[in-house]
Parts: sequence; C-alpha cells; structure tokens
Amino acid sequence: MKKHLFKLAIIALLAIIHMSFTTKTSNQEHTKKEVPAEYQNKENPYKNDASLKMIGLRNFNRHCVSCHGKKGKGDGVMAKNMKTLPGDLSAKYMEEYTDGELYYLSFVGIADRPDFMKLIPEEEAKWAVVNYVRALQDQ
Amino acid sequence: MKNLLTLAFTILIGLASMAQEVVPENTIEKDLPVSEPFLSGLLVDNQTTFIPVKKTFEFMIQHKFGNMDNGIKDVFGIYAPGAFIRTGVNYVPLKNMQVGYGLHLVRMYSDFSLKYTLLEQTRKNRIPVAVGFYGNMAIDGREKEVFGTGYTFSDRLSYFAQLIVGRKFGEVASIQANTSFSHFNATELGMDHDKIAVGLNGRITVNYKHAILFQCDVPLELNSITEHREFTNTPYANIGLGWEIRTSAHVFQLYISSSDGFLPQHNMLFNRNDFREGQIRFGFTITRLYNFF
Repeated sequence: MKKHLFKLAIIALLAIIHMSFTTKTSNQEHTKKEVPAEYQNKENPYKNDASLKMIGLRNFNRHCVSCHGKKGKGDGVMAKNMKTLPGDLSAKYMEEYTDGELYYLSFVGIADRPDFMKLIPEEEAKWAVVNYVRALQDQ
Repeated sequence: MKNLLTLAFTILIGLASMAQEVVPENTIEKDLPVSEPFLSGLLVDNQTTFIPVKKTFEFMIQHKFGNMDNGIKDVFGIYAPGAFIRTGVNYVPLKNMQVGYGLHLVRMYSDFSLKYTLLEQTRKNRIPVAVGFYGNMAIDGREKEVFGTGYTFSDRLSYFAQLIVGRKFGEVASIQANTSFSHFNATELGMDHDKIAVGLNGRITVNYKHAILFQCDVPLELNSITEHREFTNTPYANIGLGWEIRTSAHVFQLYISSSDGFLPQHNMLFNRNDFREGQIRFGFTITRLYNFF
C-alpha cells in the first residue's frame, strides 16, 4: 500500500513539474471577433498591390513583430507577458475575416492591443499591413 | 578643400540634373511619392527632406556630451564639462510644410524654423529627387554686455537658409547633398558675418528598424564673401557618424559629431573642432511624433 502511495506521489509530482513547463499558447479555439458594420465591408483600395510589399513588411516589423512575432504566430518577445495572447495571424481562421475586418482588428485599439490609427498615419501603409498579414496566411 | 568643393558641387549638380530626365509622354498614371525617404526630419545635425504628415506634432531632445579628446579619463566626454542640449518642437500645419521652435544651451539661442519640401521623389521616377528648403532665424539670448558697445537687439539675430537635394536608392540608402548660407548680424572681432557651406549626408539601411547615418558639412573659404584679407578662425568641417533606431513611436539617433551645437549657422561659422584630432562629441537625439487628426 505504502509503495503504491509513494509511486502515486512521484507521478503526481512529475505531472506538476511537467505542467509548470507548459506555456500559454494562442492555438485556442477561435471565436470570430465582432467588428463594427462600417468596417466589415470596407473596401481595400490596394488589394493585390504587390508594390506595397516593402511598406507592409516594414510597418509589420516595426509595429507588430514584438507581440505577433516575425511569422505572425503570436509568439513575439512581448507575448509571454501579456494577459491576452496575441492572435496567430497565419492561422486558417484568419481567412474568415474580410480585409475591412482585418483593418479594424489591426489598427483600432481594443483591450491590450494599442491603437495604431495614428502611429501609422498613411492609409496606404495601413492597407499594406493588411495585405502583408494576408500573405502570412499563404505561407 | 578645393577638391571637396568640386566634389560636393558635382554631386549636387548631378542630383539636380537627374530631375531633368525626360518623362515618357504616356506617363499619365499617378506617380506617388516614395515611402519614407528618411525616418526623421533630422539626420545627426542636418535637416532631411522628410516632413511628417499634415497635423503632426513632433517633440525632440538633442544632446551632446563633452569633447572626447581626453579619452578614458572622462569616459570619452561623458563626464567632461560643456555638454549641450536643444529641446525643440515642430508642427506640420500644411502638407510638406513644417514650422519649428527650439531652445539651445549654446549661447542661449532660440530658433524659429521653416521647412518646406518643394519636390518629392516619386516611385516611378517621374521626379527622381526630393528638393527641400530649410530656413531659420535664431536669437542669441545671452546678456547684452556680451555684444559690446553700441548694442542693439538686431545684434542677437542670425539666419540660415539651406537647399537640400536628396534621393532614396531603393531600400538600401538615401543620400542628400545641400548648400547653405549662414549670416550673423554681429560676430566677434576677426570673424566673418557670412558663410556659404556645402554638405553631403545620408542614411544606409541595415534593416527595418536600424540604419547607419553619416554627414559631412564643409564651410567654404570664398574670397568673394570674406571680409578679411586672410582666412583666420576658419571653421572646421562638421563630420558625423550615427546609428538610427526606429521603434513604433520614436526615432533614436546615437552619433559622434565634430560640432558643438545644434544651430546650423553656429556650426558653419564657429566650429573649431577638428575631427582628425579626435575633437568629437558623443550625442543622441530622441524624437516623438504625435498626430492630431
């Protein structure tokens, strides 16, 4: 009996240690975020404009990478200290969002996400980031 | 010095002549300005052709530590006396036009500036260079006794006008050439009141956040404008090398520079630091942009 109890205690201890090494991930089940109607069908005037790739890349690396990570996986250096994990921008579920919705979710500050509307003042640069995020989903 | 002058003028004229390239007749598509030729309106001690979007307010702190020529004794100037600072603000009331005000520790200058980007380089090369104008008026704020007998308020005033021609070369680099005219209403005995200078500066991109900066401003010894038979107290070239870091909301520049102050006309007329002798200062600039739209 004592032996069994001892084994059980060891297993429980190992399980606790193992659990302490697991980290939060952003691969939780995704529920589509609500976006105001005015953004849902907002037209992307720069859709498929390949000439904006560098502008998107530059702004993504400057403003988004610290939380979302280089590949948009939500694993940036700041992510582990955040209450709300940054979403995985390369995930399949991102296809559910229209460009207008991505625009809203990317730039209008909500909860832990800062407002980037003024930090990226040019409309063209904002849409370049949306296009860049779209491209992440194809990678 | 003559060679430097020839080189600077050749570059300036070369860049300007590129603006004269013939545009094909069928170029009717909209040709937008290149994105981010520079990340900041400042490049070490120089102005760039970059002006933020309309209704942007900019706050900046510029700081230079003491001269580095004592080496490790005063940790390359960090503990040395004679550190200088400028605190400034800029605002963009109209597209491509910026007005600014700054306070200097050097001679207690206050400067009022205006910058206007006359031409922006475009992506399809219809306009291959950016052309900007920068001008300022500064007030020397020291006690009036400094100006000697016969003092009038206008003795405190100095002016600076600069034409800047720049080009962004892909994502690799942005280079500018400039020519400037500086004027002081009153100077010390033996000093000229006017100075023409040429300069070359630029930014070499390392990645999306980092860049290497360089600058070289050469005050010219021109017989036609000097008031003296011989060139005395000739100012040295202002040479600088820096590292630029762009974050989400700030631009930081860490650099070494051979000029004392931040007022361009002061540097053009009074710079007595010889870069080759290690008479350089370590400095930094912090800028923060706020948008009001």
